[in-house]
Amino acid sequence: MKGRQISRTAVVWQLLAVMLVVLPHVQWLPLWVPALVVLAIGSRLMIHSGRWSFPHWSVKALLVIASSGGLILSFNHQAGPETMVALLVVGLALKLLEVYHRRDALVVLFVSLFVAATAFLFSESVWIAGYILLTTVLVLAALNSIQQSSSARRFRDNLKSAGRLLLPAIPFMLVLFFLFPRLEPFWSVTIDSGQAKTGLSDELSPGDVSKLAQSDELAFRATFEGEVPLPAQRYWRSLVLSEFDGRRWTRPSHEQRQVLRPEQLQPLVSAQRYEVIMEASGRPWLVALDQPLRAGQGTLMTPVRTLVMDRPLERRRQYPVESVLQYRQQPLLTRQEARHYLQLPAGGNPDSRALAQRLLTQADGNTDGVITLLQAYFNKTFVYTLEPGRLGRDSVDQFLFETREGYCEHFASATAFVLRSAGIPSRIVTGYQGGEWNPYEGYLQVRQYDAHAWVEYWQPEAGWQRLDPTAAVAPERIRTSAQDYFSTNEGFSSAGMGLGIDWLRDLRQRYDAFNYSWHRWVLNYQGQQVQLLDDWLGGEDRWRRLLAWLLPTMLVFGTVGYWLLRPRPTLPRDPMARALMRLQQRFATLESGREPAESLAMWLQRVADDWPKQRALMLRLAFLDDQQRYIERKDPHQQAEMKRLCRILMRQLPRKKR
Amino acid sequence: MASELYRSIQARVRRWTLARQTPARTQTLTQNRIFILPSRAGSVWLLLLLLMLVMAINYENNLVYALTFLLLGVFLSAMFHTYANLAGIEVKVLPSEPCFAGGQAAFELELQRHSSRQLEQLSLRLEHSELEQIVDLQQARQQVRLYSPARRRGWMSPGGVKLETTYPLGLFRAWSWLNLELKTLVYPEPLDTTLPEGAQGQAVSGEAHLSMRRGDDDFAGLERFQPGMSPRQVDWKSYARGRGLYAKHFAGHQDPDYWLDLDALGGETLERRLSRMTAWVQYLSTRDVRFGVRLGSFVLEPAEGEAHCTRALAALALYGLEGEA
Repeated sequence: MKGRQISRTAVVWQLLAVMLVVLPHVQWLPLWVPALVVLAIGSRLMIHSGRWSFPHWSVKALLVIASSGGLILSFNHQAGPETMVALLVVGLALKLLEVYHRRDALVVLFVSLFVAATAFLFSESVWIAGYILLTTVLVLAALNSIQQSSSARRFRDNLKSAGRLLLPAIPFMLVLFFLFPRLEPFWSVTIDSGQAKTGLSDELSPGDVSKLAQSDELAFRATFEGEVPLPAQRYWRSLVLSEFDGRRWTRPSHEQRQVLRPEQLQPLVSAQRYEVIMEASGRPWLVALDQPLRAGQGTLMTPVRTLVMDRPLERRRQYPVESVLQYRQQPLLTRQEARHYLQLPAGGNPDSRALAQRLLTQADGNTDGVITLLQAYFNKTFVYTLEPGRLGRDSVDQFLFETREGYCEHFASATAFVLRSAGIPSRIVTGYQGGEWNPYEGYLQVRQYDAHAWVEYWQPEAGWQRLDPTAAVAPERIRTSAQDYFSTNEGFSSAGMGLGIDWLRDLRQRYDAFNYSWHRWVLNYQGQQVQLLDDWLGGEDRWRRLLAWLLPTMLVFGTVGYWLLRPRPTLPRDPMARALMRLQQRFATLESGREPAESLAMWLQRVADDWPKQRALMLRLAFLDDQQRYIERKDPHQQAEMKRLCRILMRQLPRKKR
Repeated sequence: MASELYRSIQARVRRWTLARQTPARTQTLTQNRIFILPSRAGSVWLLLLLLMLVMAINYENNLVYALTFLLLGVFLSAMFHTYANLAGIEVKVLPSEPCFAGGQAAFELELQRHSSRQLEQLSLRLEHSELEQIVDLQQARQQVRLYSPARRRGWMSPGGVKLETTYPLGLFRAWSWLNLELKTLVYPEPLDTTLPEGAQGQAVSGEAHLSMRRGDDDFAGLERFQPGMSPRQVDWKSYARGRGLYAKHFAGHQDPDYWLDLDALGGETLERRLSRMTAWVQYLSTRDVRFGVRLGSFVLEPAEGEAHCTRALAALALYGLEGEA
């Protein structure tokens, strides 16, 4: 078996299969690997056409050493899936050079299938899925071609066989996909697809959020069980930043975190249940509507009531949350906590501190008064823009008194600074605000340009309260989505989101809705599985599952088996011969069948007497048949007459014996 | 280890199926005669799927799950197709040509399929032979010749016939053993030696043939060429001169008949003597020489021609064996 040579058609199939499975990996593989594949395919084609001979073993050895060296250099001893795939691809390329026997071809194709599967580790889009399905058909065709004799040379036959094999496998796959229990990973793996992920960082300095606003990448999607919150209520908290060094806001240091108690939350309204599908961000923090009641499955709650995971989010993840939109949070602060939320650098930004004192005296020490005054101040002359000037050392002073242009982080940072200077405990919250409602699938999609920063300040009794200074400057930004705001306001058009054309936007929403369904039902099916099995099978015990798998499978393969083995009489192609064959079959059911040794004419003459009505026709047919058989040139008139006679006889004869 | 297990399963299946069948001239590959197991490539395929499943679980990747299940479906589907590639074939024994010991005995079979499906890559071989024939059954019926080494003279039955296929993907191996009435006559192995001195002398005691016989020894004249004459006899020179086709007519000598007598050859083993005689029969019949054969009590009167030669060889093949014709 191993010694059997594969056909030339099969060689071409191998080359095609390898090329197709490597293609999705080209975008991240080091350049020399695809180059090697192209080289190998080219050389094999030269060998195929007889221009070159198979490479000498020394050449092969040299190639193996060179590419091993290349792999070590390129991947630097990393043991990730990238290294594995690169190794397999290099192996495929080298093996291609010596594909000649059936066993070589089997190795190539099996490895190809595995490499095709690894494409899903790097991309899970619908397009890749379709592409891999197509590739699978071609690999199966290639597998079929190596089983054929070495003279076979029809590509179409191989494709047909592959289709016939794959078709019954599809319902089988669907059922198994639906029922197969999803297990927990055996060991933890990380995958770096080489694309830098965008998302919120755990610190905030001027310009950070506006950078994110340039990206229209999806951040997350959310589906709501009950009513969907109004745009002005859609504050998605992600991080709380409470330490300021004069320029940057960061999360509390480790010692400070020991001081902070988990914050209490008293809901004032009933909770809102929803589900978030967060895209991979490469960071552990999640989002939740202001404020989450408790951590859902697989998530943790920080003391400041934000949700995190125990490891960075390397894959899209779905999690349920419950939030309340009206609440009282942490009505009492310890002295240490209050000190933490009032912390400011020793010096710097003197004008802003002075402003704080001025506002405080103007408002008679009333917190609400300070806030109102500050917002009025912003409202007067400040400009909300994505492209503020660069800020220097005393960034808050510069923003408040010189440039007076900024994006949400500038306003939030300045507000928190002023509040702290005025002795009001406050902190920065980053996350997302708003989102676009997709009417086709009914979910909220939040993109990176919805990233936002706002402030929370604390008052005795009332606890922590949200304050969004951006709302004072650009209230439309909060009421409508970021996209609408950007597209209708000049100065934001550079963000490349000028989707003013309605139908284009509609198309985009439809496409996104489709992607959402794909994510929800295919990529994140495990989230739905338990519920779905409950609904469909009325429980998910093992026997029900087995039965639910067995019945459709048996049905599908029973059909396939019947289809393959059903009796298919070999009727002749020639219509004349076919008509005569049918006539004989009919007579056979009437127990006047033709004997093996009889000629058609002899038989007709023998049985003609049993059928007095048809006798004349039968004798005529017998005569004509003899004429036709022994005449040198066929007479088309006679043939037509014979066909007509057959037809008439078929009509007159009973179908069954009386 | 695994392959040994496989081989022992195969041997067991062979003995079991062949014992259950009564030999017949026609056998059909029915459900209870076809066996199917994953081939080695099929086991590797399953291993590959296991690896892919581990990858799917570990990376929590539903698309890898889907591909794994799809390929598992293909595996099952291949099982059906491989089985169907063998099912329903009718195998018929055709008369086979005798052969000489030491050569390859050829057995003619006719495969017939009863559906319009094309069956591909059927491999056939005889029970004790390593030679396999690969057939693509594209027509409704097709003839196959199977070879098995002929070791001893006499009637030879090669045992069962194995039909096997791994088509279309090579993931499964379906096979079947058929107990067919395969039988061929094996002539003794010809031993190339010169004719014995005395063989012709004995002919003198036989009746004399004085009439002219057609032979190819001496030129005796020309006659009109008629279809069926050997092209070697054509007188090309006269044809070139434009006189039409003529055949040269030779006259053979009035040779006395040869007698080949087993008992006259002393000193050697029976088989060796039979082998010598076989060679002489061949030699004499290619030269259109009349000869007779004497094997103990069996006597074949002198004659010539193909039928005579066949009869002589058959007698040599079966001499001293059971079921002597």
